[in-house]
Amino acid sequence: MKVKAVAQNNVVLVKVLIQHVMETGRRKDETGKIVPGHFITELSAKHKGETVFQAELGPGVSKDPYLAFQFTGGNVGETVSVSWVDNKGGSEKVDSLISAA
Amino acid sequence: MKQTLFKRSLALLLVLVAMMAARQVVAADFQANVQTDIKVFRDFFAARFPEVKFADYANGVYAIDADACQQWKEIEEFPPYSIAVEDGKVLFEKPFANGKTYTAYFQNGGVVRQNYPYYDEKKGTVVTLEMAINECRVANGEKPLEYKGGDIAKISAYMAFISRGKPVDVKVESEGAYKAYMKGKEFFYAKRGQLNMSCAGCHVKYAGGWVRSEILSPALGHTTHFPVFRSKWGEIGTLHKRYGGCSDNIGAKSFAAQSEEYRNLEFFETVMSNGLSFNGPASRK
Amino acid sequence: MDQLHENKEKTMISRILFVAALIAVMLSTGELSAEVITTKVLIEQADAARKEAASIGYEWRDTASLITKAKEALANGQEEDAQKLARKALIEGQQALEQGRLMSKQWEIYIPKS
Repeated sequence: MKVKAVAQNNVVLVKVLIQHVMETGRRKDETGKIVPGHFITELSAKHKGETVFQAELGPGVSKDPYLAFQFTGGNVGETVSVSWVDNKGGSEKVDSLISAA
Repeated sequence: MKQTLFKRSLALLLVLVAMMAARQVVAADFQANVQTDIKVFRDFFAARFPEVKFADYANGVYAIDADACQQWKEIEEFPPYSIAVEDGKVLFEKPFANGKTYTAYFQNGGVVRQNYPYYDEKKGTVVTLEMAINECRVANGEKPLEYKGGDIAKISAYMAFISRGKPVDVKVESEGAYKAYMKGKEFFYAKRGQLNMSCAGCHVKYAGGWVRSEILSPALGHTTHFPVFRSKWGEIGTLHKRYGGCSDNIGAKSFAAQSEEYRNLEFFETVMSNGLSFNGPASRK
Repeated sequence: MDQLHENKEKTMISRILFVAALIAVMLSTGELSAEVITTKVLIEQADAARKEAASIGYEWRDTASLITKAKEALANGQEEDAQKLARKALIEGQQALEQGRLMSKQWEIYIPKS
């Protein structure tokens, strides 16, 4: 997962690019068997202990998801922590420093 | 008797000299022909899009549509192909089973995008970067990779990325190269498929026009930015994958990726982009 | 009726009678078996045209699958469907060949001028 957080005019714009197969669970392989679903279910971002962003993803989101969101009250040099969990118990967490525009 | 012999050998000498001169004229001819083709190509687009700077043609449709350009610039801040570039770096640096690496084969640390495609005199055919990657693999006892996407596209993406800014300068200096160039040129302009359309029909004649909801990119700059992360594919893919898709779209049976037909087409298209800079990999719709 | 028109009328009548006799013979030799042979030949002709178009690099996208479907339909006893598909494939092969031949000669006239 790559995270980029940029502060401008008291607004922090966060961009996230996650490497994840996001398998829907409805596809069939060459033998006709269903490929089991494997997708991110929840993603959230924390800043100074507070949740600033939360999203429920699912099989409707395609491979290697990209998200962008904004929140107020963040400053250059502070940390935004982005994490996700998927339906197989996988997870990832990345801390990113807020940079200037 | 001596005089006749003398006259005859003089005549023969003159014929030989004429033949040699003719060969040289032919050689100079096709270099001039290629230059003329390039000029005609560029002039067409300069007239069609007078506001667009020559260097910007490397950005395809984003050079000719402001709204699309703005969206693309935003995507470029955090490009979807960056994952492929990172994966490509890992693949490129990993040694083969025999201990050798891609770097030993390609030299210059892999900054070689600008050397492809080229006409290989010994092989008598056009060699592209993806073809060279597989040649390197096979030469080192590895299995060749599939040509449309996956690992080969990732390696190509990494090599394109580290070669960004290098000039497009494809040479057409021999008869063999010119023949390949002309085959590519014919492919580009000939109509094919059930829809009876040519590459030029959309990307020259109707460049900037609409095909359903999309704007047609100008052919000038077509091959500078591959491989691409295409939103439609959801992953990185090669130029020949795109060629195949286009063939399908117009109801023609596509050729195999890295077939001679597509390599000649890539050769022609890249020659037409001489003077621009390589700027791959890129994001496209 | 003058001599010229009388002769023309006679020729016309004899021609009609000939064709009628021909149709009667064709009908009597068994309609069903005639259909099957025609379809098989059609499929072969379609494939030949497809291959020729392919040899000059102008094969169309769907021709091969049309031929496969025609063969399957014929094997399933669906002669009418097989005929339709084979005919479509044959036309595609022929048009692709014509397209290829024309393009090989004249592609340069399609270079856009402005």
